[in-house]
Amino acid sequence: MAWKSSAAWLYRFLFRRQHLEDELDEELRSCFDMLVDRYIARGMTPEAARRAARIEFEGVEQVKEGVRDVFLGMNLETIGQDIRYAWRALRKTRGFTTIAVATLALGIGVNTAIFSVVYAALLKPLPYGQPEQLALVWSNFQQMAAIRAVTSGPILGELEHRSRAFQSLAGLWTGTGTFLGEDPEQVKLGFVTTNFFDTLGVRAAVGRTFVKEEGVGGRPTIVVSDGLWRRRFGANPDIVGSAVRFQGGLVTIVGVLPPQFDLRLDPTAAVGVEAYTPFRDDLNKRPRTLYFLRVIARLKPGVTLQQARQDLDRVAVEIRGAYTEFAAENLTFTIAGIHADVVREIRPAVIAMFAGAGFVLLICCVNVTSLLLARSSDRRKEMALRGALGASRWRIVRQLLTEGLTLCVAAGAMALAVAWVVLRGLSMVRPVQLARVGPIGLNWPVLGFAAAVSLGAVLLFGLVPGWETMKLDLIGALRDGARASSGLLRRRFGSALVIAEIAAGLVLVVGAGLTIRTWSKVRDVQPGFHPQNLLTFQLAVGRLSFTDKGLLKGEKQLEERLSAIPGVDAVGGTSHLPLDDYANWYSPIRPEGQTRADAAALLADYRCVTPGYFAAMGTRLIQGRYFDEQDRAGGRQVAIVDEMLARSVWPGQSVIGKRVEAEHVTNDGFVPIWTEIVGVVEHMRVHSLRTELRGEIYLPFEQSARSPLSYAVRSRSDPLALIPQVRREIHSLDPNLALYKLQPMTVFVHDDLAPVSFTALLVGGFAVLALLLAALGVYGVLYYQVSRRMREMGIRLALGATAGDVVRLIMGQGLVLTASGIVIGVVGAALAARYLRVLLYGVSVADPLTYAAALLLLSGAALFGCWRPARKAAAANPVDAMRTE
Amino acid sequence: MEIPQGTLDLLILRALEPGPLHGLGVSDRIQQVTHSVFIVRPGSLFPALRRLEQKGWIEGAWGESENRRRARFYTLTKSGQKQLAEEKRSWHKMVSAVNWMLESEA
Repeated sequence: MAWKSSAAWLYRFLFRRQHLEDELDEELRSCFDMLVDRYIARGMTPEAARRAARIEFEGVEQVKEGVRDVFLGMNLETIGQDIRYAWRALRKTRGFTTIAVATLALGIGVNTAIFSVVYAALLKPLPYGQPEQLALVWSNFQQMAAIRAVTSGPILGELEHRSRAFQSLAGLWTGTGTFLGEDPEQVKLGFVTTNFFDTLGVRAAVGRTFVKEEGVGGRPTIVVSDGLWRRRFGANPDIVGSAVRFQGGLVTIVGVLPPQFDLRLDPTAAVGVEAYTPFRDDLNKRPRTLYFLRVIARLKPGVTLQQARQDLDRVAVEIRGAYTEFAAENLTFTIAGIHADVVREIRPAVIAMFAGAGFVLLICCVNVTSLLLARSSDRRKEMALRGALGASRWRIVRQLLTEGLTLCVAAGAMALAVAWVVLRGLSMVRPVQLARVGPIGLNWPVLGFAAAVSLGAVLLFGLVPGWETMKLDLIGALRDGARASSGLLRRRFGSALVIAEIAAGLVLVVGAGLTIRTWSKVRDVQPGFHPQNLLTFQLAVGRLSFTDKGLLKGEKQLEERLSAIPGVDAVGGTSHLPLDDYANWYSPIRPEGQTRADAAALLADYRCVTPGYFAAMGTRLIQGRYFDEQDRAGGRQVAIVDEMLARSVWPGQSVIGKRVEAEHVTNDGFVPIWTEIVGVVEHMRVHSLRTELRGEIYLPFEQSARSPLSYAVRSRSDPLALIPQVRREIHSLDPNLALYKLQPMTVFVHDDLAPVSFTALLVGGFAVLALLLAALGVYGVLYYQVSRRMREMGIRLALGATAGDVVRLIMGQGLVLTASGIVIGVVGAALAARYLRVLLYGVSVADPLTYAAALLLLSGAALFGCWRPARKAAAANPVDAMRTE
Repeated sequence: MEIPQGTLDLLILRALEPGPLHGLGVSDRIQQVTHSVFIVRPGSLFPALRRLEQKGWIEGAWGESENRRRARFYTLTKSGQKQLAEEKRSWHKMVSAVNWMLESEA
């Protein structure tokens, strides 16, 4: 076992060097002494004997050097030979090498690019201290199907008070705030408990984060993000400690967050928060059932999520026992590790992309393997000759491995270039959901992945032909020479490759078909509003009341001015635009005639709107009326509901005139008030084009005023053309008003559609690649098989077969393989589609249209691949066949 | 006379065929049997011994020499015997082929 002894020597050479040296020393000394003994015995003086022995030795050190070199020499020499030989062999078959390297580079490159997305989105540790201890705690209202609901201030207090599993619990609510001054600017503002950053394990880069005294009753303070600090304050470190005009008062900036800090909660959370300020009221005194807080918890060291879950179950029992309202809602808690929660929504899409890229790589590998196999069979004679000349089998396999390695090093280098290009492309189309995961690029883990994939490919490509060689019958190969008919085993292997390729291609094409169908379905969704020709922006209208005009009067004036702009058809305001990521407002609603307990399970999305809103959005009125001038503050409390809520609460009845207890925004905060329904509108898809989550209730802005307000301005033509006019009107009304997110409504729609288009684009691209590669693979394998059977074809033709017969024969064989591949592929696609289900919308996982199209495409690709080999077979010359016989 | 590397390996393996020898013994045996045509000096002997040992054809172990000195004795292994048989065969083949060539009529 030559390799065993090689391994043993390698070990000795690396780790037992001193021992080896000592032994060599002793051996040489004993030999030297024996020589001296011998010369003395011949009558020399000891002196002369030593001299003679030394001459005989020609220098002991040189002898030692010679022995030491043996190890390295034997290995370096043969490795050098292998590499030189591999290089020559690859250069000799330039066409083969180019195709193999390009195919591999494509497969590995695409995978490397996608892996860098996987790494950035799913694997990279979050930029917090010891993120494994962090978890999110949600209220769980199972009977309302709200398993991951936000929490109220008093519940957070109860959790802090009663739980034992946590070091600390922090709360967050996101809203907006406006910096005033020369250039007023509205930013996303995170309201946090003072322990928020300590809980996350984040320290300020400049200054500090909040201290407890800045909470309840403290002076107003703010911590800004690195981005805001650079943009608005010119990265001036002296700004820390100074007061700036913010929200109609002065606040002190106490710190700047580090650049890598990023509030990465789940995608529905308001992300992109640029400033943080502590809650300065006592959260325990807020209404018990006003749910708005996200809770981030740090587990005590050594406490597992499971233990924390048990702790929370116990706390929930205590809380339900202490408060009747929580007992009625059957409050429990959900806890999830922060990383799992962050990646929850994006994971299926990313994994689908990764799997798609994996299939592409698989097909690439299959193609290269079949190429190598074809080549190795052409080299059977060469290998047999080398074997006959004394090369051990191990030596031949090592030679093949070296060739594989050389291929893969070349392919790996090219793959990085491919990955770079793919990444550039991805970053141009990547949706906000991916943009949120931070920079995606080629980094060490990604390069490591590429190296690992390349090495895996080496083993595969070296070993498959090597394994063939192991079974090589030297004599047979030499005798039959290159004419050896392709063995049954080899043909079976080639066929298996074709089947595998077709099957993998089908899985990809079905996946692509389903995602593309999903994309077209989502694009065609009627969302309950018309996004075209609609300009939107958000405004902290609370500012209007700081002028002496009064909030409502100021708002009305604003709408009048906007309506007066030429080209504007309608103007309306709302607390929440559809598809915006502004923190949602949803609360219980109690229809008249139901007890609080009965109604506890009924939640609705709340929005306050100005009278012009529905007309501006293009939302259809189904029954009753829109709000109008008569719905004033202090007047009869009225509401409009959507058809979804109407149907679920009052099925089959007229809703107009019904009364509900609905939550209003008053000077005392959120208060339930009896309200009469005056209209029904169509349902608006406010969270995503793909979901109809819950019913909606609309209150007149004048009766339930909230700031900020988002405006929808319906224009007759391109809404972007309105921007300068809109800016001018608003600034002339109040120069301190900051427009935020001034953009056409279509941007929201586009952003919402982006993940779907992104997945469809990517998986579609993979499918096209797979089709091309599969056609190439079928072509390669069949062409090779045909070229080995030209003699047979010649004989067939000589015996009276027509060219058509031969074409049919080869095509038939190709199509049988294709059919087998398709059958396996359909089964694989059916299995894979189950994992794809979460990504689909409006299309069944067994969509017949998709499967039919995939079958057609794959068969077409296979036919395309079979055609040339079949023509070649038909062109066989009977005379040639006879001659070579 | 300069000995080609392959031939030296063959000579050493053959020298060890009757039984274990230490390094000096190997070179003595080669010198005696070839009537001093081949003299193997330590500078080529010891690297060759190491090479054969690494290939697993011979095995070294410490023992005591005839004049009671500690010396490293080399033994032919199973794969060494196989290798020797193979090399003998191809040597004979080569020699007879070369002879035919040299003795053929010009």
